[in-house]
Amino acid sequence: MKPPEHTATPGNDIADPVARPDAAAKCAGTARYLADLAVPGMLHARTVRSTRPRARITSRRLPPLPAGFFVVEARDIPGRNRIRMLDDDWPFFAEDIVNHIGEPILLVVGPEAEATAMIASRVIIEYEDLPPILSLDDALAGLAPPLYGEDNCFAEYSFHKGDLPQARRAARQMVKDGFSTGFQEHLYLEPQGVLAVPEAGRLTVYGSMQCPYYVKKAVEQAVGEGRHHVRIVQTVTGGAFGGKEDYPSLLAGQAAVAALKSGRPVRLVLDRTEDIAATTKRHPSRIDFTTFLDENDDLLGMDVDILLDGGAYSGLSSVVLQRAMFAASGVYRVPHLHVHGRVLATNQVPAGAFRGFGAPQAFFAIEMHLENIALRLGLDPLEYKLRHALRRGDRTCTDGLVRGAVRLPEMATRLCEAAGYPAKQAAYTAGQGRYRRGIGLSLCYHGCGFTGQGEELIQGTIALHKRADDAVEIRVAATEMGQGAQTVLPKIVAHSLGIPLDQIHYENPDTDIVPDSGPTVASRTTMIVGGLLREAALDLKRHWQSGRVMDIRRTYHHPPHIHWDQEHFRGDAYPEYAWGVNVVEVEVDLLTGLVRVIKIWAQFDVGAPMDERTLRGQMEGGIAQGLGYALWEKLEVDDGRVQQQRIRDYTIPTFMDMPPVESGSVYNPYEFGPFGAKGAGELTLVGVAPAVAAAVQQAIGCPVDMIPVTPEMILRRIRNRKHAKPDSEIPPESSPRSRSRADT
Amino acid sequence: MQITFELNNETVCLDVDPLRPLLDVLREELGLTGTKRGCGEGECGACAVLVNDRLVNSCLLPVGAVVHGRVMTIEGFRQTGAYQRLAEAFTEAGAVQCGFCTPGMILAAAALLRRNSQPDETEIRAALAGNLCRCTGLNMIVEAVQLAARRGGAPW
Amino acid sequence: MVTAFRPVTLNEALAIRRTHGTVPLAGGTDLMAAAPSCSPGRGESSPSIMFIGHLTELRQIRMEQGEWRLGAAVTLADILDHARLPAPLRQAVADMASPAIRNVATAGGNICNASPCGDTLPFLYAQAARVLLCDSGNRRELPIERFIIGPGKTALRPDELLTEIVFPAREFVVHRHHKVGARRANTLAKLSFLGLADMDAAGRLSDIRLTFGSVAPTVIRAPQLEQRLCGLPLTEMKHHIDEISAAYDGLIQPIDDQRSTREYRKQVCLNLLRWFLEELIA
Ligand SMILES: Cc1cc2nc3c(=O)[nH]c(=O)nc-3n(C[C@H](O)[C@H](O)[C@H](O)COP(=O)(O)OP(=O)(O)OC[C@H]3O[C@@H](n4cnc5c(N)ncnc54)[C@H](O)[C@@H]3O)c2cc1C
Ligand code: FES
Repeated sequence: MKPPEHTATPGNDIADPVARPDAAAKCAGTARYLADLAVPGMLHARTVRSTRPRARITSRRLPPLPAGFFVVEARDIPGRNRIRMLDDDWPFFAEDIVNHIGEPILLVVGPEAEATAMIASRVIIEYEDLPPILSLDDALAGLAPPLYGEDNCFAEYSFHKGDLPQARRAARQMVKDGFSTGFQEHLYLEPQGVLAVPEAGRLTVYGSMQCPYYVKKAVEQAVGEGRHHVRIVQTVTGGAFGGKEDYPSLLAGQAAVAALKSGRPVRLVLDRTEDIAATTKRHPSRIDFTTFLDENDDLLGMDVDILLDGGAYSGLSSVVLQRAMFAASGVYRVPHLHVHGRVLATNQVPAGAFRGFGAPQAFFAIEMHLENIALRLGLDPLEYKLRHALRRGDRTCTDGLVRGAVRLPEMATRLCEAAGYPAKQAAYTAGQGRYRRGIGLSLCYHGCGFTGQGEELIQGTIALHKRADDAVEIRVAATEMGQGAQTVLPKIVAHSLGIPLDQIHYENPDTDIVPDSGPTVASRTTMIVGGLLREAALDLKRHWQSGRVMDIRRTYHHPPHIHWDQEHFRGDAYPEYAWGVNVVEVEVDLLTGLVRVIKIWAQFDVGAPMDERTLRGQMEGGIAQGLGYALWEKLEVDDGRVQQQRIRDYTIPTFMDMPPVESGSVYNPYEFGPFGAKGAGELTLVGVAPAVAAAVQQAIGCPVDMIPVTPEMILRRIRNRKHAKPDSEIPPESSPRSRSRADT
Repeated sequence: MQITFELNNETVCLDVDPLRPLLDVLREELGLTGTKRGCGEGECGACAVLVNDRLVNSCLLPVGAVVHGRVMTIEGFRQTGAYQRLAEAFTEAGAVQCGFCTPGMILAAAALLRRNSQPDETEIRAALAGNLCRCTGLNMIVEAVQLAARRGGAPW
Repeated sequence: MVTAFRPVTLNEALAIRRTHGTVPLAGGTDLMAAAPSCSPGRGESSPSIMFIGHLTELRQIRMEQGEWRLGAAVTLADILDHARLPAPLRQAVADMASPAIRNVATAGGNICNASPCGDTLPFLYAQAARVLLCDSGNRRELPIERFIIGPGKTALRPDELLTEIVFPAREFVVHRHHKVGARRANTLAKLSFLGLADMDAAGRLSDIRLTFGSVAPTVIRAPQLEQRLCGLPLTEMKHHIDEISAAYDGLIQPIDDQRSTREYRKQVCLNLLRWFLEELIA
């Protein structure tokens, strides 16, 4: 292990926290978010949305429009009515067919926000309903005509490792398990919004967003390639979590077209209910395992089937599925593996990017599955899991090489000691009385950077601009959305150059100034973008000439040893992995099914922290969001309609719900990351749900195979167990000490 | 309707629809955009301001209800020593990420400290329970308020 | 722009109410939240509104002749600040909404809103509270359960205002309040349970009040069932629990909605009831 590299001032470690550069303006209320911008002559837009899950629009009837008000719809789009994403199915505005409730049909635009809203509420759309696909079950049944392609499947993949049929024959035992997860809403505190400003020959779109260049490409496609110079400027962004990765492209395209049509600036800001009901969500999932154990009860083979609900449009679903698949066997060594995955289309709100990007679903499933296997075998889950955990030199599920040291064993051991896991594990199974405790554990990783060939396709480019006054500007498309990019990236540059932090400037990206360093996603900003910045800074340092203007650019390529075969999903799906361990203790009230989280312990290996406080913010924040995902954040879609549309009904944790969190990180530098850094943003959410679910499962002595774990579900499980004959279902044994049957 | 009230220590007199939410009046009529609109339904606290020293969600408060009252928004509060203390503590404790909740959160903390300068953790959590924050995981905000209270020294 | 009145006195308010039939706005937390994008009364057909939250006559908390009298515009925060008010009421209020909402939301508003999940209501039913209704010439009192007719419906006449809420200043030795919601703050009740009980020196149950919120159009309280328990020695209670529980099972008819299920609501109500009774024995 290398010691931390040199630092800006001696004795000053890069991990030492610095004051966030954006904190002062945010405290004082002077930071300008999108809705705080008002430009002269600005018009307001309000969306008219589909009220049907699947229908043909037969007529659109507008109320009389006062002077200055107008409508923007599909036929106003000068370019292509498709948002440029991985695929080409998602329109800015519905044409003759609507595919989900909440889908935008047209904008009403006018000089006053309230009048615009009033007019929009009076637009009458008439429909002829078409047979909808309202759930994964509908999609599987295949009764309604497909929404997408011939098979209604946005993506389907499978990959193999080893020889699973052979493992099946050789196995001593087979264990089957199935899990499901629900939607999750980002609920960033700042609703989505954009402002499009037309100028002669040029169109600028300001917005709350993660990925300025995604937005640029989408807008260019909407207004017609090459017809206008399109410039995208990110405004201070009030949280994103993946929710502002895909959807701003749609909003920006719409507002841009409206701005061109009117020749005036147009602002489109969603209200909270629209934002909950119409913007993308985390994919619901169903994940099934058939696992084969050998004569030593060790994992021999695993057959995993993943089904994701993609909603109405493909969006980023295919890559979400890939990440889920590459997490399907968790942190474990499984010699023989087959993973099959599909994303099906349904007439529901589209699913998209959300912190973790498929991994939280997969880790919930695999971690619970291993927990269940261990308990059935009468083994301690921690021991069983560690026994199979990947080690340096092992092969990943896609036959990539685990190159870095894997410090899971010491992380887990240390954490379990701090949490008193073994003693509590043993004691809580024999719980008595109204309040029952449980403790659960999970191990996880998160592949840093884009999945598969992503980084090679994007080829992120960054620039450093040294001014004559020797201040250095960071020019990257990476956005600050709260996670701390504007804290961490300048530190990397300052420490590399060995100059004071206040000499580094990093403004919100403006595509006229910054190169395309790729989207701010996939836990890639610190490791990939930061890594490029470090290289560029070292280069700049070598050639540094005081008083001179200097420019340096750098483009990302994987380290030469990384190989990936996208066709067969073989090789290094990610350049490197960050690792995590979570332990959660809960108390369940058996009378009400309410779960109180007593405490959470977490340890992460993010390589090296670039700022301890920022890292802690990611740990605490990711854990809170993961807890919400596990317990409270229920979002149901019935008959195509989001049931929890109002913010009061979508219950994210409040101050009263959050338990104390004891989190920390181990130092395990990645050779190709800046100062050893890997990714940290998503990892912290990924492993929370299975630890919570395992704890609840222990507390109630009934299987927990879905999240969110609602009190309704808990009481139902307890009641069913009471009424069921002892053998009618196969709950995981409540005591890890008692050996029990497994399907053989 | 003519509406007179004290805003950030100055008297304002406006001719507005008395049912217009105070939030809209602040942001749109008066250009005070430090108060944020997170939901418009009284659920998130991003729009919190102080009315007669008490925390209120301005999105649900018709401006007609503040006639003759004292309204303090982040723009006024940031002139105070109490603000300085809180902003420092928020920054040091890592209580600021995306910042959208922050002005409301600081005012919620101020409203608490004004009534109870040495709150315990439970009291802090209860006092901030109506202010949502999606980024920080909340515990670091609790620590910020504890830090500010511990340092004290400000006329809350 | 909608017409708005801002009377200076209660009498003035009642006079306006008589001539204009205007909608009273106390804290406005229900009225304003009901119309998320446009404020209430913005449409052409909107009636006028009248601010009443500032009327000092409606902001008093008094104890008179063994009864508490809460002005209709007393805020939830005022209730919390008033340490001598009964603990179960203050606890119910502490579990409502959030501090910022409680600073403006009023007791009268919670009653007149007549929501099945109004959180002050179970206490008021349990305490047999009465509401004082005034118009410009008359006043009348109604028991709370006759004032609230159904979800969003009350016996308020177009020229009346609710001015006071009256309930006996009677404390119970045992009180248990449970609000069961999706999270621990800032949440509406899936269901709520309030149990109040007193014992006499001989170890008999001398008084018991059992109410359930959010599980029917209005709060459930069944005095005839409570009567069956009164006078029972606690030692005998356990023989009656099944029977009582079965009786409430018949009364509690919750619905399925996005917040919870009928099955859950009912089961938890019965669980909490049973627990309360068992605790009394122990
Ligand atoms: C974010 C949020 C959270 C909430 N949480 C809860 C909760 O946990 N539990 C709960 O029970 N409620 C909750 N509520 C609802 C609401 O806050 C309460 O019902 C509150 O008590 C209403 O009081 P108000 O003064 O604001 O009512 P207003 O909105 O002013 O009035 C409500 C209704 O009563 C009428 N009215 C008011 N006063 C009088 C009067 N004196 N005479 C005649 N009519 C009158 C009004 O015309 C209106 O129809 C919540 C609301 C919000 C916005
Ligand atoms: S810092 Fe983003 S919501 Fe609180």
